[in-house]
Amino acid sequence: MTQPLPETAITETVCRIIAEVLDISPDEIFSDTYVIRDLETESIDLLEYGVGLNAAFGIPVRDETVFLKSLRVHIEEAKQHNAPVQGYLATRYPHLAPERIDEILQTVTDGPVLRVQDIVEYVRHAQKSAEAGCHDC
Amino acid sequence: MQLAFNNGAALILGGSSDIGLATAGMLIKKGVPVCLTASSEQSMCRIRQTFVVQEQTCPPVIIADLKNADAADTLPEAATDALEKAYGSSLSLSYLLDLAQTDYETLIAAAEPEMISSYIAANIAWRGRMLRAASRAMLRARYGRMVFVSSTAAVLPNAGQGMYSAAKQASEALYRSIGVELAPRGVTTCALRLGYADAGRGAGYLHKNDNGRQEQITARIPLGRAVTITEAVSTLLFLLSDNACAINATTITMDGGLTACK
Repeated sequence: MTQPLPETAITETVCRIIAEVLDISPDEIFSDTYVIRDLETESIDLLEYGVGLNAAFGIPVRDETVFLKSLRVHIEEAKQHNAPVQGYLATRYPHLAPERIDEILQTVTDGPVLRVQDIVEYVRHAQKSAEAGCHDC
Repeated sequence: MQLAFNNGAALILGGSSDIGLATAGMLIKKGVPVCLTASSEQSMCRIRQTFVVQEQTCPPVIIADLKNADAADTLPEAATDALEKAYGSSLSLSYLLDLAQTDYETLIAAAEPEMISSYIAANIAWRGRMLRAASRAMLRARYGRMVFVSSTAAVLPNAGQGMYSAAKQASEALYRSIGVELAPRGVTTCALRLGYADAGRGAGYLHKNDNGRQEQITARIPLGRAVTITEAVSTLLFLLSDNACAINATTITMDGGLTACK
């Protein structure tokens, strides 16, 4: 496990990984860039981002979680269980702040919501969990 | 034909099998660093003994327990660690030859319920998880070649081979899909369906309590004999090589014509 990095370094690395896979300049990618909506990201690209995150940060990567792949499924699950959607999503995506989850729920009908910053938060959370000795967090 | 292999290493699952051992020897001769897996300490000893007898340095051997699903996730990483220790430098995993298979032959109606679950877990679910991890390791280098050793029992099972047949068909499907999904990023796959082979379990079956069994079997094969280990290994070597990358997401049959017959 590598040492936790400052947020700016994580953001730079995440942007570099995405840029390398898509063969574009990292300067075209920002923390508020929508990964799927703004960039021409396909499912195989997401797979490569996951592999790159694992290699760059030495963290276990769960593609379903980091890329919010089953977001809509989880929203439906919460509704089926009559559970508050925000709270339900917080258990599924512990790396996301409550404010971000609210924002996601407000914009989910506009298209895929994943932003570069969401991936950065996943890395930070994984690094903190590793520091705390939690391997399944 | 000169077969090309890039600078990566090979992982051979089921390394203590006759075909696994012979292919490992051929790859090493071609300068490919090899790591083999064994299912037990006993199998590990068999591998080491084989290389001692041949007066060759034994390549790294690691245990692959098909009953331990979690270990499948880390197997490629364990292999590259073992390779690094043995060869003194960091090597990417470029080649995977999969001969791993657990034994359980019985009529499906006579099988123990728990054995059905554990057999499927070991031979299909375990393989799926191992392939997930191996694919991700290969994607890093944007190169990988995976070859699965299947069997004509996948489509032509004898009585008692129902679960073996199911496992082979399902595994072929896993390999085929990886070839479809990841070939654009340099990871290609294929499966080789071997018919009766004079190696491993096949040899045991052919020669066990003979009573003319071998003649009866070979009479059904247009070629008139079983596949030899030399034929199987040279074909696998080609399929693993960079020369064969265009043979992707498919299954090739090598059975002397057995499954083409009524």
